[in-house]
Amino acid sequence: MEQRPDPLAETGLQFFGKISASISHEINNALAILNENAGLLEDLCVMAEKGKALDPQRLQKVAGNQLKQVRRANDIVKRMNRFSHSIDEPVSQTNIGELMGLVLALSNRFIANKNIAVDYAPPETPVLATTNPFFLENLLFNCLMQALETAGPPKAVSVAVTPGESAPVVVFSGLEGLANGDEGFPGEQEARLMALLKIDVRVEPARKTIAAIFPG
Amino acid sequence: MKVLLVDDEKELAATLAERLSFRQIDADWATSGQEALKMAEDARYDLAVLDVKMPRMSGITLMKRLRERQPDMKFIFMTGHGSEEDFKTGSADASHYLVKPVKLEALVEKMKLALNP
Repeated sequence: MEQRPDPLAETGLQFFGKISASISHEINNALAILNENAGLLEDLCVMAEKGKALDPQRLQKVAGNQLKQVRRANDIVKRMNRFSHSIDEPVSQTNIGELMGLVLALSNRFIANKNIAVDYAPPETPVLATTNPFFLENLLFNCLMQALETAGPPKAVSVAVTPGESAPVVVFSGLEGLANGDEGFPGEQEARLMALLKIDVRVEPARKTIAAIFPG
Repeated sequence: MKVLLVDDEKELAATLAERLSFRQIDADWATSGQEALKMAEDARYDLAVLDVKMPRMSGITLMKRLRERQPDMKFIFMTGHGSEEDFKTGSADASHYLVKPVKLEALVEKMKLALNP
């Protein structure tokens, strides 16, 4: 008997997998640098045993590099923890500005790989909505990926979270490459997420924006 | 042996180069494909050690472009996870493949093998 997984659950799992893989890659990079710094300390010890004087400033620099990578890995783990806990409650009052910041931080590698500058200033006052935080992260991540695909030139995307006139709005702008009927975006995955969250995603080539409009 | 190390993680590339220098291996390093190509205009390298996944220009693309400039150059790839996809796209043309974190002695061994198969 063939059983197909629930399409929405499948969408969410794919998103979770993509972010987890990216995070594991980031942590691995920090570990690789720690590994080299530990190896460098071993090399310096071997040379000291052979009579070469140890330079305290050199050791301080290695220690500083190691601390930097530990802090980096710690930040990544904190982000992963926040992301994982966003699944805890199906619906909660959510700070959209903070959530957008988290989505951007989780997307660091995707943004770096596209070599695109993303400008985001969180709203000065909290923009709140009662929603499903995990699937909202999924939808905003998908919007961001589409924004990266259609950015520039110049290769820059601006992201803004505003309270809107009657409901919160997240706008991705600077999408010079956006065209009418752009390659099926929003597609099937986004349609499922939009239906669940009751969020309207509007692709507006004339304004060169993608906007996610929350329910009023 | 003259080696070019390319990894977008500056501290990784710089530390690896320093550790190789302790082993009498002359290693230059770069943090992007563009920088590496520029360096390959000014110097000849026996071997390049490339990160597979880098922003803007992947290690695979960089290998092809370096090979256009210096056809005799050998290549070793470093990858974060050694996924099946990485192996399929890279292993066909590379001398060797290492998964990060790399053991330096293993890297040195692979370098020798790449230059004297």
